[in-house]
Order: sequence, then C-alpha cells, then structure tokens
Amino acid sequence: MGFKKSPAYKYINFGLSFGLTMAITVYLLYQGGQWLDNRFDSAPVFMIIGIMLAIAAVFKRLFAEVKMMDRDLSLDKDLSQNEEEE
Amino acid sequence: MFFATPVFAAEAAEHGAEHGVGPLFSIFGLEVSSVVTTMWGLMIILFLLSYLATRKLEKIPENRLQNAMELVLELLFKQLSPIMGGEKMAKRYFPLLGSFFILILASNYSGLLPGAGKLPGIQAPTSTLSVTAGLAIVVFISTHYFGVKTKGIGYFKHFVQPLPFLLPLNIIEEFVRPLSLSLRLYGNIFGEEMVVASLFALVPLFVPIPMMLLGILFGLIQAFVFTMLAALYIGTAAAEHH
Repeated sequence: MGFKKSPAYKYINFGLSFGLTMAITVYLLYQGGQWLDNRFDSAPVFMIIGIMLAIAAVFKRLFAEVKMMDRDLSLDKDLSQNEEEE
Repeated sequence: MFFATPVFAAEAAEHGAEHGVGPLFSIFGLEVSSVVTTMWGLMIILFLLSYLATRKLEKIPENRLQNAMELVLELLFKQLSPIMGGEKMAKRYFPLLGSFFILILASNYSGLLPGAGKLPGIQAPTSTLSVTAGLAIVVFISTHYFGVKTKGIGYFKHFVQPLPFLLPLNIIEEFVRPLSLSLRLYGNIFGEEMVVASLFALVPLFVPIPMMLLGILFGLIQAFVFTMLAALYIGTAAAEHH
C-alpha cells in the first residue's frame, strides 16, 4: 500500500515552530505599520491594522494546520482499522 | 589552571559575546570573512566526499564511503517521503533537499571544530543570519518555482483559497515562512555557539564538553527540521491534488 502513517515529528515540529512564526508575523507587521504611520503621520492607525492583520494571519495558519492534522489523523485511523480487519 | 579568576572570566565572556573575527581579506572589493572561508572548505570537503563515494558506483557496494552515504541518504529519504506524500515526490525533490541537509549539517558541525568562531578562517556558516537567510530564500524561490512548474499559472489560485478576501493573509504567510526558517536555524546555532564560548571563557576545561555534546544533537535536529520544513513547503506547493 502506498499510503504511510503520518510521522509524529510533523506535529512536534508544528508545536515548536508555531510560536516563532507567530512572533515573527506580529513583529513584522507591527514594524511595517509603524513605518507607514511615520510616513503618513497617521499613528497609530497602520500599526493597529498591521497587528490585526498579523493576528488574523496567525489564526488562519492555526486553523489550516489543525485541519490538516485532523485529516491526517483520520487517515491514520482508517489505515489502522483496515490493517486490523486484514 | 582550571578555573579562571572572576575578573578575567567576565572580560573573556564579554569578548566571547563578540561573534567571530572581522573580514580576513577582500577580493574585487568584496570582503571575505571566516564564514566564507569555512563555507569554501565545506564545499571542497563535500565535493571530494561525493566524488569519492560515487566514483565507482556498485549495486552491492563494497566501497565503505558509498555504503555510509547510502545509509544516511536512505534514512533521510524514508523520513521525507511520508511528508511529501509519497516516494515519487520525494525522489523528484530529493537532490535539493538532501543537499540542504548535508550542507546544513556540515555547517552546524563546523562550529564544533577547535577554535571555531575565535580563530580566523573557521566559523560555522549557519551561525550568521546572512547564510541561513540565503538558504531560506532558495527554499522560498524553489517552492514557488516547483509550484508553477507542476500546476502552471493555476498554482497562484491557492492565494485566493478558500476565500478571495484571505489574499493578504496568504501573502503574509508566504513571506513569513523564509524568515521563520532562517531565524530558527540561525538562532539555535548562534545561541549554542555563544553558550559554548561563554562557558569556555569561564571554565576552559571539561565544563563546555556537555554543551558541545548537546551541540552535536542540536546541529542534527536543526538540519533535519530545516530540511523537513523545506520538504513540507515544496511538497504542498507541488502536490498534484492541492
């Protein structure tokens, strides 16, 4: 059979890297927002927009990852059931 | 003397915090630092090793070097194929991913050489952000290149999926990936080097050894994590059914 069980470290890695990704996203967009605010003298509008966008991007990523994990786990479950039946 | 005096130790630790030595020389106005010379050395060593291992390829290898290389690459291949969604995909992108793994591993371990980061000419390339950022940019470009190559212009559809208004979020996500990749590798290797340097400055004998042993483990883990994430990004972008 071509399908193999998803390796556990895929999930461990998600746990390890999610924090870093979140921090980088928020920091980058915060800095970007601040730069725009300085340029257009509009503090703190762009900074807030940047942070909001960052939070939205992080949550979108989180939902996508959880959805992918859920799909992988159900595939693994199906595979285990098939193996037991055989 | 095994233990340095506190004043000396503090001074040494302060100096230890300055990472690496300055530029060694320049070629056509471009400064060549220890990182560059170490990378050149690694390139020569890896080239020679690859040449010697693949000079007379045998189906049942008697050449020990070929055996060792096959063992390492097969292990990596077995780990990468489930992530990439099958052996076919893993085989297609393995030359790039395997090169990443071997180069990053060798770079990380070069920091464990005696005098690395202190003596001119030796410094772990992955302990500088410019090198890790360069590697991450290669991953970024390859991801999109392979995506477009496999799916054509339709590849860019994923930027407006699942809903078109998510376009800015998807773009942000794409640009954060290389930053996250490069900072993770750089932070881990640079941090590990700094801890070893500080311990070495405080107590030169025996005390840094456990940290150096941990460095061997961290070097391997970081090389693997970078390769695995690159595999995940490329695999997702080039998957037949997204």
